[in-house]
Amino acid sequence: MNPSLPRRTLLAGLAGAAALTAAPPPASGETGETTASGDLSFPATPIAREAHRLVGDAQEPYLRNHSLRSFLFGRAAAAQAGRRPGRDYDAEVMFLICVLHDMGLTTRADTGQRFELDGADFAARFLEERGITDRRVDTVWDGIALHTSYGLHRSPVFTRRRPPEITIAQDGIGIDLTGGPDALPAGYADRVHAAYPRHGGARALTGAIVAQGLADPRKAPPMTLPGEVLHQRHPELPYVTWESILDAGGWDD
Amino acid sequence: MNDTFGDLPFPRTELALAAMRFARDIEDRAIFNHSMRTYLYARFLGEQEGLRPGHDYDDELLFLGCVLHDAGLSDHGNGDQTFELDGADLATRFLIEHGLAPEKAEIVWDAIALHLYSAIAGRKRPEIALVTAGAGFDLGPSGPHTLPAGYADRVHAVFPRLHAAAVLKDAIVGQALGKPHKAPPFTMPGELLRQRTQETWPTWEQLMTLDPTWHDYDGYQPAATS
Repeated sequence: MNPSLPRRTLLAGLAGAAALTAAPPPASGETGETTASGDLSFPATPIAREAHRLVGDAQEPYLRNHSLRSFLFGRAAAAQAGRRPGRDYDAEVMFLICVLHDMGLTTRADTGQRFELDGADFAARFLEERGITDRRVDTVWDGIALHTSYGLHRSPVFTRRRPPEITIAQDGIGIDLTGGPDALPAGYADRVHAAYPRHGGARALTGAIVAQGLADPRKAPPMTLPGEVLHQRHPELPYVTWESILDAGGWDD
Repeated sequence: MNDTFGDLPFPRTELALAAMRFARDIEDRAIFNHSMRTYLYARFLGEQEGLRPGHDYDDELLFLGCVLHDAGLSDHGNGDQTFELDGADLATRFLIEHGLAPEKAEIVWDAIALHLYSAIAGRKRPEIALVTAGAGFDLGPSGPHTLPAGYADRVHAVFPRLHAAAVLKDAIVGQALGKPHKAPPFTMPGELLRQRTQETWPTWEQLMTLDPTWHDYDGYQPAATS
């Protein structure tokens, strides 16, 4: 690894990096946050419960627990920054992004696109089939489709313009992969992990991404997270460079 | 160069011309020419899909996204984000200062910020999707052969390639060599930098095991088949 690059820089926009630099906890008097940041509850609306059941059926325990922890960590990190569900963001929408964001790693959602897009499409259909057809569909689709597009989530313009559920969900997903307990209230990560163990966590997740790319190269295009993770793990496989893409075009640059 | 460009079909609103001059002033000529061709090919690809300018999309907005999509590769646009985000921010600041409604500027922001993510941009409205499609078309792999006979020659007579693909890559890598945080792993700038330097990027495993970590790899023995 290039020793001149600190990890924070390398992960410049990786989901969750924003949470690591989130604002400090609000001043005393805002103790209402401890409720949101300390509990292990999930939204209990009909569609949220159905999505919760779905990942229990469709996802292996490591993946289901990653999806659920992402919501808990996202809510807790948001609370640390003074953002409350219901007041500052829609907890149901944030939950749907988190809990469905890796559905593309399951056979149920696989249509030959990279897993972020398959998951986004699956989630959009899931909402529409249940009568949600407004902007919430776009929010969930973007939140899932863009969840590995580094940089976007640290863009001040993106953060200001996009629905807050997207950024909060990204923070939660990122904390569960590259964050660590320091991003959360003391002891909270231990409580979450006691209820939702990692079962391999990031390691198992990588295995699923690589397995999909091996089985279907369309799911791992170059210069995307799935493509680069596959290339790192299997450098012997064909890999396209900038020049090889352009040489096929006939523009003779 | 005058601003008429023969009979090539550019929108010629005041804002379109201002944005064109802005891009021409700050960008390397090869990148500017690529940006102008991007609009022409975006429009062509839209026509192939039955999309008519002014009817199925806002022609001025499509042009603004195309002509400014690589503004982040100029020295003026070289900030501390990846170039497509720096370019999106610079472009929307310019456009709003010149009177474009913020909700329209947001469409241009998306068009530029998403232009390296073709699979995602392709699912958005034409003013966004066609920017990525046009830029990609100008670099390959479809090549000139799918255009109407002689069209690429007409375009290149006004906007010579000047080794566009090579200049673009050098600009991306040059910015990244100066500011490595503009080229994070798993992105196009990051991969182009790695291909140039042949440095070993941190692997996923390394990123996941640096402190702070959840210790998913502690004591892990890879299965022989993975």
